[in-house]
Amino acid sequence: MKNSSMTPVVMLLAILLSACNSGDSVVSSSNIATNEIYSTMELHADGSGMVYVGVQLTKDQPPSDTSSSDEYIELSAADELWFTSGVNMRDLEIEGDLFDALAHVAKTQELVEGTTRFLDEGFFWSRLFPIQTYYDGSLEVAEEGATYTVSLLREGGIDAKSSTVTMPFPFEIVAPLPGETYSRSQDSILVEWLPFGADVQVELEANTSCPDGSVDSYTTTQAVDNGFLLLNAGDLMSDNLSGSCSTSLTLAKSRLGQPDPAFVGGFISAHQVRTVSVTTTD
Amino acid sequence: MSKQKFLPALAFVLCSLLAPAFCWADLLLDGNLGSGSPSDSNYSSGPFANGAVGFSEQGWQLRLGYMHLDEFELETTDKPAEISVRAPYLEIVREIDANIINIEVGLGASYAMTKASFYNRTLSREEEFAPFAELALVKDVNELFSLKAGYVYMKDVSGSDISNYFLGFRFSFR
Repeated sequence: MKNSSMTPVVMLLAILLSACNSGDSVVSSSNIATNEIYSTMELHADGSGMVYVGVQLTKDQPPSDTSSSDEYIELSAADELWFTSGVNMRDLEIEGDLFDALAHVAKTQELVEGTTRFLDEGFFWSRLFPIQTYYDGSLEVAEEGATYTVSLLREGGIDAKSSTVTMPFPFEIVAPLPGETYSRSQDSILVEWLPFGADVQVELEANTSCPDGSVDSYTTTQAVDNGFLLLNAGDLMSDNLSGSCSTSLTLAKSRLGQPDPAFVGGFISAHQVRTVSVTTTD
Repeated sequence: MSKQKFLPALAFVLCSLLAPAFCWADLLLDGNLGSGSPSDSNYSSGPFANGAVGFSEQGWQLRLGYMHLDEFELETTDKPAEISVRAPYLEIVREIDANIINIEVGLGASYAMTKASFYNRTLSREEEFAPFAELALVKDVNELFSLKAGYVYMKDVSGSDISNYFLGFRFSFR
């Protein structure tokens, strides 16, 4: 009788302990097969001369609002993520002039490192959940139109070494010019850029922040890159914005790539991103 | 047996076994420390060390040694990328007696084993013969002990020439 009366207490304690742990636990990759890993990989270039990569590994499913922290995978010491504009690290061989070859490797290879992060927001195009464990790194930009590869290399497991994506060509926003002033209610804003091309999707986010601390954002997408995008009068209007405010227009050209088939699933994309800031008034 | 008698005796036994022709030559033990710099300016200097055993006879030396050049770091990146070299070598040296100080000019062949590392992972190992030249100034402190300063130029070690400056010492057993 005593045992049966204790059981609910023990169960309650177990549930409480489980709840306490769920907030900060992650799962190690050591016991997870590659075909149980979903890999979300994103690259972006912002004209600074660097290409940035973010990678999030989750168990079986893509990251989502409903994923608990223990569905996000942390790499064990036996697993490595590499980011390259050249040959993946597993197949890389250098010989001859080692001094020159090593300098080239350092330019084109990056060990992607990371840990649990606590950023509270990501990029508007992003599918990563940066409040959870993710990995990031950067490389110098390779030639225009270069293909980049993300590789998961495993000791004692199956590699996923060839997730690839081709970076959209760099571009410049030619209109509006920085600092120009527009009315949020009465003016349309024609956003133009050069060059434009095929096989990319265009997304634009307008972030407005006012001196009184009020903020608002507006996002629009177009499937074809024809070199311009029109924000209609009123698109940037919001009840909580008033007066003269700063509006940053961020344009992202995005292209999808091919995740390695060794993953249970995956998503890899590359984004060229540029921003221009203007002033908006009521 | 005293230490002063033991070492020459040991040297004689060793040379009888290894190089009988040099049995009546002086036995030399050299040790040097310094700094090495690759000609590829993208890389930092690194520590240089070498040790050698040799024989001296009638103004000529024959040396067998080992050079250790550690961690030329790539300076164009924050990523850990290094090259290191280990090189056993054979060298012939001409001694030039200049009264106060002796000058030594040497030519040698090293078997350079070069390792390239990236993020502390070995990317490549190469092994090749690399010639080198040496110029050293030697000052005898006493019959047994000398001080040295010098320069070693290694030609084409996995794509880069390497200049080494060193200070060192020598024990001579006559």
